Amino acid sequence: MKPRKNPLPWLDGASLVALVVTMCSQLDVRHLGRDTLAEGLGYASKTFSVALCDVVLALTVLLFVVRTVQMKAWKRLWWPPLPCWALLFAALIALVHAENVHEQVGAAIAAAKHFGPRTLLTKESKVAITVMIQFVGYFLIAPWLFVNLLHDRRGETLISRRDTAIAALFVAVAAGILLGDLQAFVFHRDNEPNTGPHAVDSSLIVQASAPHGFFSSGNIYSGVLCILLPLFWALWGSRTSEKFGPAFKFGLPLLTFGAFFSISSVPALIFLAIGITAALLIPQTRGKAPLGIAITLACLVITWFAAPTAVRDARASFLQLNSDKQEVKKQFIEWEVALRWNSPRERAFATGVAPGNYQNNIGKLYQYDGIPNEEKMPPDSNNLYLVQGVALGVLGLGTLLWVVGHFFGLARRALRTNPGDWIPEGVMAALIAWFLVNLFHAMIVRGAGLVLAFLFALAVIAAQVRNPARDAVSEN
Amino acid sequence: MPRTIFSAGALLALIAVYLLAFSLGARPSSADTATLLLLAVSGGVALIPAFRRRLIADADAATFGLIAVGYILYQLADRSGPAEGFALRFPFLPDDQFVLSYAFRLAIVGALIGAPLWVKSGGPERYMVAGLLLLGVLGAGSFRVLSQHYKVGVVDTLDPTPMVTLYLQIVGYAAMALCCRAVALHERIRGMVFYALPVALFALWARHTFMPAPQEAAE
Repeated sequence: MKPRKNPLPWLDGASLVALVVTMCSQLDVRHLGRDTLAEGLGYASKTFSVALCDVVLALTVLLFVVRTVQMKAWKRLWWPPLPCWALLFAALIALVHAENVHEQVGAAIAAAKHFGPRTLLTKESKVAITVMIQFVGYFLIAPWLFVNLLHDRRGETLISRRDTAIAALFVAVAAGILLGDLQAFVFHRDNEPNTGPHAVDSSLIVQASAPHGFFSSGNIYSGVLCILLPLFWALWGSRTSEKFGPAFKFGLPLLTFGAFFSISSVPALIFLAIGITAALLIPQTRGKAPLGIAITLACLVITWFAAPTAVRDARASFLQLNSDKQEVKKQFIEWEVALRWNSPRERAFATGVAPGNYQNNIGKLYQYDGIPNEEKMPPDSNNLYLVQGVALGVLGLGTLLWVVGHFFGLARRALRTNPGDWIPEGVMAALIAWFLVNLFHAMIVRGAGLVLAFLFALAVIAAQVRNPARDAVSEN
Repeated sequence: MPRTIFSAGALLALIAVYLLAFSLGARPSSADTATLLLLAVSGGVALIPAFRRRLIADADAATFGLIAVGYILYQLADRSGPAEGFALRFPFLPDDQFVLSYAFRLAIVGALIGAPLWVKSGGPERYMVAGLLLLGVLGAGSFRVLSQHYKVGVVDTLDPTPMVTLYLQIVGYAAMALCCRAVALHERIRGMVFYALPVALFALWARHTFMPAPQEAAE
């Protein structure tokens, strides 16, 4: 009688694939809170969205914990390194040290005449706690989960799901690009008149029409492609790609063309080209680099002129320094305004205004001098480093860079140990692109935050492989 | 022996910053005292043997811990003055002067003394300095672009004053990070500091909670 195959490792693999696929989206399963605008009450209230990837992450964590308890394998797990914990500590200090949070909590206690959990949950502290939970998810739980599922050492033998996860990621990215290309043809500018006191800046209409795949905005869609495509180009440039045949060899350039076709963000476009170039030049053997770079530049030039109207309009809108209402549009002016957070000297430079509270405080910073504040920011157009600097202070910003630098260094050391391994090459190129694109689009958001955690995990498993021939055991 | 001298010199600068934070001029808020208590408790937890091995014995972990404490102390000490004295003046801000605080000067001195230690080491302080430099570059770039479109002046659209305080703080906090690294790199001094830290922070918290500066002195 044949022994029955244990389905549980397959379940681990399936949950990993589901997580990898859903992290390439910002599809929401539920909104918490009242949508007062939709109810016709004439005002907007903050709602909290539960993303599909959040749900899948929670379920995957639950399954992973149950299986680990079942296998009694806690000691065989990889645990996040010091910088990840340090970031959480820096965020905690930012929360405790935030003057405005203390003032609000103090006012709540004075109004309630007693101290209790409700008095601690003010508008700013609720946002801060939500962001801290997000940080725990993206910088502790997600890397931990990814590493331990990608290289699963809980059982008697090592189970490597790396290739399965990369294949799932490729399919998810391809699906996103195909949808983005479809949207690029289908979307068009709103033809209704846009005048009068409620007129919206035309750049916002243009942004709303930009292709966005499975994400909530064209900027996040562009940013995610900018980060992930260099990873696949590192595989394309390596000898390992030969085992995937002509389907991958020709498929990736076509997919990249599709991506360039639908990316509406000019910075993401340029940094994608830089990321792909880095992926092809980082390896010691660069046989395919000239061809790959030529394909990338050709895609860039062709799609610059031949992209659909919605995409061209969005790109042209970015390149314009002024807007309908301001001589320098808000997206660029806000860099200078955000830096006012340093003043007065004794305020918030070290530890910021509390995690997630950039939006609650940026308005006050406009009042410092006469810099205009006449319009709304296009979605997902903030500089991540300024947002985290204002929110977490220079302590938090430096620690965030430490986290990214740690995993970049890990990938670099892995490359020195295994010069032919495409994974560390791809991770390094992807992190370079991530660093650059975050100057214009803050990418630590629902969905995209898990992409960063996945890159961290790839760096770790690349560093774990000392002898590829010995260590690769089985796929599941 | 030279390593000890450099590390001890940086430590003396840190102790001086701590004493400034102790002074009446520091004027901490409730947020400051709460953070001091959090850091004091965290310092105590770091002494538990299971954590001591990972946190204090590791130079990078100790550096980060010291930087977190150092930044809070620096922010307090920076308020301790002087109100006038050695100051920077700029032609584009003729009516303003930017006094270099005692804390600023001590941080610079501590970083310079500890330079032979931190210059060749690579730890979290690199990323603190990198983050500060990034802010400096972003600030310079954005100010340059905006100054070509808006009038620059203290009472005009674009006030350059925050840029000066930005760069002063960049230098000050970078120096503190490097000073902390120099202290953390010497194993024995690092051990002594972390054993004393919870008590020192608790004393600072108690001083500002139970013996706060009078309102007149603050004004």
